Amino acid sequence: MSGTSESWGSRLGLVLAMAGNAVGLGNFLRFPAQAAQNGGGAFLIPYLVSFVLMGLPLLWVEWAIGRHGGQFGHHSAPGMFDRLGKQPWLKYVGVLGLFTSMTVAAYYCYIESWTLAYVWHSVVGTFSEQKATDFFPQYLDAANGGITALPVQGLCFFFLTLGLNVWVLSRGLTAGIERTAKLLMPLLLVFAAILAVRGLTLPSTAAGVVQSPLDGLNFVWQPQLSGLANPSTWLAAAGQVFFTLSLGMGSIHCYAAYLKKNDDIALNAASAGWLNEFVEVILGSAILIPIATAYLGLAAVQAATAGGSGFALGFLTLPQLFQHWGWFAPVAGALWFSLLFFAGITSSLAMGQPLLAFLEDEFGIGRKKAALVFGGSTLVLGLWCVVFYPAGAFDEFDFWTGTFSLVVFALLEAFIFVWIFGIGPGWAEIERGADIKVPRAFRYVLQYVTPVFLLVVFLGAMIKPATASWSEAISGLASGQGWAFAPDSVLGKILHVDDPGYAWFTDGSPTRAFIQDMTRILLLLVFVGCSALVALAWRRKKVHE
Amino acid sequence: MTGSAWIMLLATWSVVGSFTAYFLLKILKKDKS
Repeated sequence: MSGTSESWGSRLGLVLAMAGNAVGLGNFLRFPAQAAQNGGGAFLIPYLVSFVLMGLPLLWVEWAIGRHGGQFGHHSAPGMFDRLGKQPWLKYVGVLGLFTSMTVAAYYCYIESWTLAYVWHSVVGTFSEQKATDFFPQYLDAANGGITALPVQGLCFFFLTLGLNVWVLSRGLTAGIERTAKLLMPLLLVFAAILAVRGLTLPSTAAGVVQSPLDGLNFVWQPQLSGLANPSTWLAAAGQVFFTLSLGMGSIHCYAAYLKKNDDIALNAASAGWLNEFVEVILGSAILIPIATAYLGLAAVQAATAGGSGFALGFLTLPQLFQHWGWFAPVAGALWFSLLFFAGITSSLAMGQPLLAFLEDEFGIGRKKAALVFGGSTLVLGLWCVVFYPAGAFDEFDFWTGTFSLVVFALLEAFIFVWIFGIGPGWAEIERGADIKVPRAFRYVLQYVTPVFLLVVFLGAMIKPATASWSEAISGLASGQGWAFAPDSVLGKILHVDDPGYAWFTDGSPTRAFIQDMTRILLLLVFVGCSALVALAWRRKKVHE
Repeated sequence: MTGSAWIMLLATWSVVGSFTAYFLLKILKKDKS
């Protein structure tokens, strides 16, 4: 173990880097659609309850595990978890923190590269000549009807995005990650504010406007209190809080590991968490849906967000709608996709740092070389997502690493922190150096409420029913109709419930199901590989001791 | 926008805005001292 002497240059830089880690594309694309589809304004009640009872306590846990591990020279999850107890298997739980950040980075950098490409195409006026709905499938080379794609332009932007990430990471914590966050986070806030003001003040007499943008805001905020009684609303709210804070990924632990023993974590974690909420709840709800409603009407927006995602609106619709804004159209496009790019890169840097830290700490590899290793692994895994995009490889990555693995890791870390490390030492760790008094009630929340919350989210993800309502599914089960798994539940995915003619080959050619299963095997192999590296690192350590 | 939507929006924005401002100002203050 070489350990690294790096540390954060300033407290504001740390908070902005942590907030940048949390603020991602989902703040602007997923949150407004989730809110609109799950009770509107009433969604915010379970959302804020989940933030206080699950999000905030877990932030403190991850910061505490990170700072604790950093004192022993460990800046990545395997080493940190090894120090939480005497059990040798703890470090393999930490592997999840390494595996998740590494594999999420692979497909996330690809999405990030789309935003960069869209900035370019907004500026050069592509969307004034070509509809984004035609442009996007061509860009991905996903319209050829096959199971593979070779998007030349998409690959160029992917390489560029990856190069930028590697370059920033190779510059180090302060000169690279912190400086980037200090520059991009304020810009993101300014760009979002400009678009929100412009969108919300669109006059009803403006060309192309069919409805007031405030009707869109009403769609997001109108409380449908009946939704509060539906478990789906609570699960959706808890899930949104969980994903928006970048919990269960290993990146928060990693950033916090560069703090000193008596540095505050209570106030820093709360600040970063609330800053993310500010971007999501205030700015995230004020751009996409109001602008889309103004030009498309509420019915079209309701249909476009029916799946709980605003991705199609953000990438396929908004570039077109900006064309109504005359000379401001390229500027608006550049602002929108730049802010998405800033949100993306500040998150992907946080996904890269754990691997760099692991290689530096446990294998003594220099930062520049470690950054290249991150670039290489992200390139290989990312290429799989790019080439097999039409067969659903990208979605497989998103589900197993960007959704399932996060929840599993968070669930395990919550139990380990409370029951193995111990709530006494754990609470002392959170309170040490604290610049705010953390209410003692949170000790009990951490001990009993947060793990139960996570367990419910986990079980919800495992057995999500095919029907939209949990109540319907439960009464169906009680009346002997059985339980049908949703295609996006864990068991539904494993059983391929959305593919009744499931087969690996048809007429000798591989099917989508084949690529999906190969993707799962690939991810499993990456996990095994990470575990083997951890085993090797600890064996080397034993030999040297 | 309906009255109840305005109430939800203003209440939530006030809560989130106040907490964010409170914690960030506290950090800036601590940094100065």
